[in-house]
Amino acid sequence: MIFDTRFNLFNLTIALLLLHSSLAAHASGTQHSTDGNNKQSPAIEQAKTVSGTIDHNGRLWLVWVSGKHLYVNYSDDLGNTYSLPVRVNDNPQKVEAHGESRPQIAVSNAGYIYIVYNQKLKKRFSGHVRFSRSVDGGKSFSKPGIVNSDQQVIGHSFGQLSLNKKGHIYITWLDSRDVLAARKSGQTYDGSSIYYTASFDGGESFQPNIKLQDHSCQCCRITSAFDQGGFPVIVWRQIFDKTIRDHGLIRFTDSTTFAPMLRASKDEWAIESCPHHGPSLDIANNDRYHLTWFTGASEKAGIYYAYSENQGDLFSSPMKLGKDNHQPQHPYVLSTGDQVDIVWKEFDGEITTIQQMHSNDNGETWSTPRTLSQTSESSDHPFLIASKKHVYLSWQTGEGYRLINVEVDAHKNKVAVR
Amino acid sequence: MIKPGLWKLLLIAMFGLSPIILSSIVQAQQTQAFERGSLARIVDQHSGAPFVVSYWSIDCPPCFKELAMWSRLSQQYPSLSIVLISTDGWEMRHTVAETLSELSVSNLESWLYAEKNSDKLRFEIDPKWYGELPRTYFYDAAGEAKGVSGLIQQTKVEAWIKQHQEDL
Repeated sequence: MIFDTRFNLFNLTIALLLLHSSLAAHASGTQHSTDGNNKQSPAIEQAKTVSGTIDHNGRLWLVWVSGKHLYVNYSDDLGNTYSLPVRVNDNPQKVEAHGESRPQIAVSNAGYIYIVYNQKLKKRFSGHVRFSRSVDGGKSFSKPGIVNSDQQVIGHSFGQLSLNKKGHIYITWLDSRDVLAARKSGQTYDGSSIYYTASFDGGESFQPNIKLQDHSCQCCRITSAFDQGGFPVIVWRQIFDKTIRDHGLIRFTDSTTFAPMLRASKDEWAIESCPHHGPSLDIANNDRYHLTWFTGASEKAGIYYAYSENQGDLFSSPMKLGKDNHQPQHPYVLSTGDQVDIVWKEFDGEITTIQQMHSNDNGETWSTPRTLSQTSESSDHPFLIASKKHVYLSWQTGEGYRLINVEVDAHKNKVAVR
Repeated sequence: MIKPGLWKLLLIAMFGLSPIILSSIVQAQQTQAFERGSLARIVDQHSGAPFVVSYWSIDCPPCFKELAMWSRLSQQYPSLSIVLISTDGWEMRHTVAETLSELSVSNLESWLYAEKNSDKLRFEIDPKWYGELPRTYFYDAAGEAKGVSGLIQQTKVEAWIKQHQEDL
């Protein structure tokens, strides 16, 4: 009898141990499926942001975040079918992935793939701008390096990647090192500063960090484009006279020299706030600068378009975009030859739409806006990307990623097919 | 229904907690999920007296200055209701709670966006608001609101309080 009891207790202990280990296995299994570091394929549908580019062979490349990893995949049929995603960062990191601050991708004519993203650190407002590249057509990515030479645990964020036809890489970002330096000497400092670096050897090495301008706003995306010489022009939200949050413009006069800042928008928006609403710039073949931006200045709050024919010295009188009562926001502009397209987001209380306007004459006259796409789910900012022949809307929504040809005829065909 | 003071005594009796620690526990308000319809409930609950609704985010440096101001003003004017609404999204609730307590405003009524498509919330709050932060609405006793974007000077808030002192 005693023996039996003991035996039963022994059995019970074994059973409990087995149960415990199976529960533990189950728990760790659950954990694995959420951290994105597992065999299960990460899902682009769940990504908050997707950034895309089309290479010179017409291949669509996308970068997005799942859990603590970035992934790159591609499509050879413009979004109908996709390759398996390849992980960029092996070490898990918190990656900024929201409308204004998101991983970016560019592909050179030599087929090198470049990624820039912002790693968030634990301390508030702190992070690093990181760079990774693939030299084997996206099969593998280099260990992401830190772009900001100042590596204090402070703000280095809103990294912006751009690549010209010569293959020169420029990275601009917002940096808090000057804020900290001022604070250490007992002074105050408005906003952040904007820094840049460049690589002229395909991302093998980078130039030293150089400050472009003091006193940028701290929470809007930077935009950049290349002029006909292949030199970058950069526009961002700048703090003028301590309180005005309009836009500054810096033009490079060669690969590493830049002219003093010009004022790109003069809305006189006096405010200390985070608009989370950065500009968009593109440059036409004839060197006309096309710019879209947001201002919250009273009496004229909204989104605008203007162009400059003298390298940003003067801009045309701003043209307001969208319906005031539909919260028009996040305009993006792209020019191809004499053609210019602008897309932006509107919301009527239930449905988010992407509105599009087109110009055949380099921004002189514009079509009436039309709805290009819509969703009732949450959605990312809209972007335009171009192949050799066509311009596409690149838009992540709660219903999935969309690549839509913005040309009127293409749209008609698409509607007819559906 | 047990009065808050009685709870405190009960808890002290049960766990021997120090009254000082306990008072901070009891006073900290649970952050509530801000969904469609939440604002109407907030306005309904506070109408009859002037109050402030302030939208903020952990991504917004000026918002931290403004939260520090609400902390000062809430001590100075205990009868004024200040409602804080974070636009960060429900998945950020732990960070939001930490931030509120760090900035000594966890005693204030607090809400956090809990709708997947946050555009819907913003449209319901104010179709004319583009999402810039901080964004503050001053409600008078009749429930009429005036919205202000950006960091507000404390003197301006105090002028508004003086103007509405009779209704407080």
